[in-house]
Amino acid sequence: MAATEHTWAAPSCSAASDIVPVFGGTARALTNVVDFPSKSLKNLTAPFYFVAPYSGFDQMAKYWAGLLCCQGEAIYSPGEALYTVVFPGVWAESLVMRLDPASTELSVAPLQTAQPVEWERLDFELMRLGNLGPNWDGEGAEAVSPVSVHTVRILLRLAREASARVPFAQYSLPSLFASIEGGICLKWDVGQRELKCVAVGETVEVIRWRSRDRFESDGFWELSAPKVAEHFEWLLR
Amino acid sequence: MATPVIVEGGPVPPDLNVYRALNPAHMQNGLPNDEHFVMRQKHLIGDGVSLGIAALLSISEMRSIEPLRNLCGDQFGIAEINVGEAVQPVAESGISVIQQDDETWGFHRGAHAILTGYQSLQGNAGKKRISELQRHLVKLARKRFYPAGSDTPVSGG
Repeated sequence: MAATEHTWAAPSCSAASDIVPVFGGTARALTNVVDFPSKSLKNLTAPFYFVAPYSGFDQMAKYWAGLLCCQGEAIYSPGEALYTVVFPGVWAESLVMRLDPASTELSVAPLQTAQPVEWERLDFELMRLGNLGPNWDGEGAEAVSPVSVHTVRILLRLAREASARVPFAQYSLPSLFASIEGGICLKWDVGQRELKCVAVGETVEVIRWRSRDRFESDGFWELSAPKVAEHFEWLLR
Repeated sequence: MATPVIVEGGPVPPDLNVYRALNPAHMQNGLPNDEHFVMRQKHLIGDGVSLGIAALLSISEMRSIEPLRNLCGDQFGIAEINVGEAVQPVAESGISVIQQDDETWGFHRGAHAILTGYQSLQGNAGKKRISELQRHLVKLARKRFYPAGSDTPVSGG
C-alpha cells in the first residue's frame, strides 16, 4: 500500500490556552472542537484511523498529549492501519480522533463511556462510613459527621484529579476507614511513600512518609481540604 | 521458666511482650489498624492504651476478660507486641509501658498494663510524634497477631 503523506502542522502554543480538558469544558484543535464530558475513563485511549504510515503521527500524538497535560505513547498496528495513542493517567471519555486524509484537520467524536469503577467503589464506601451512628464500634465512637464526609468527597476529587494529571503515575486508591472521633481516615501507599489524611469536620490532618522503613515522618500539617492537593502531587511525583 | 520481675506500677521490662485486644469494628481488611492504637493529647495522665502482659496471661485468658468481651465479642483478635520494640523510637519522649492494676480485669487485674506518657507531647509536633508512634504500633501488631477465634499467630500487611 502506498504511503499517503500528510503534513501535520501543530497549532501554536497559544491554542493550548483554549484547552480546559479532562473533567469538563472544551478543547479546540485547529477548526475542531472536542467536548470532554464529566464522566471519564482512566487511561484515555485514542485510536487514529488513516492510510498508514503517517509521517506526522508522532508530532500529532505529542500535540494531543500536550493538550491533556501528559505524555502520549503511540502504538502502531500495521495490519489495521491504526495508530493508537495511550495517555496514561488521563481521565477522559474515550475519544476517536479521525484524521481526514484529505486535510490536516482532526475530527473527534465520543467512542464510548465507561465508569471509573474503583473510584466509584470509594464513593460507596464513603457513603457507608457516613451512615455510621454513635457508638458504631461498641467503644463509644462518635458518629461520622456529614461535614467530614463532605471534606472527604473533596479530598477524593482532588486525589483523582492529581492521579489524572500525572503521567505514568503509579496508580493508587486510598483505603478509607472511620475514626472514633467522627472523622474519616484516608491512607495511601504508593511505592515507598505513605500519605495519611484524617478529615475531622472541615480540617484535614496530613502526615506523610517518604519511606516505609522510616519511623519519622516528613511532617504534619493541619489544612483545609483544597490545600491537601499538593500532598497528592507529592505522592504521585 | 523464671517469673518475670514486674514492679507494681512500674515499667514493664522491654524484653516482655504485651497483648492488645483488637476490636473487630476497627479491623481493616482483616488486619490491625490505626484505630486500635488511639492516643490523644487530651487523654488524662494515667490513662493509656490498655494492654495485657503476655507473661502473666495466655491468649485464651485474655479473651476471657469480661470488659474486653463486652467490647469486642467472644473471640476477638489479639496483637502481640514486644515492649522494647514498641517504645524504642519514643523512649526519649517519656512514653513507656507500665503495669497498672485494673480491677475490672478480675483475677487478671495484675496482668494489665498501659502504654502512656504521650499526653505530655504538645502542639502539632506532639501530634506528629503520636501519629508516628501509632503507625509504628500498627506495623508491629501486623507482624504478629492472633485472628479472631484463633490461637495461632499470623502476620500480614
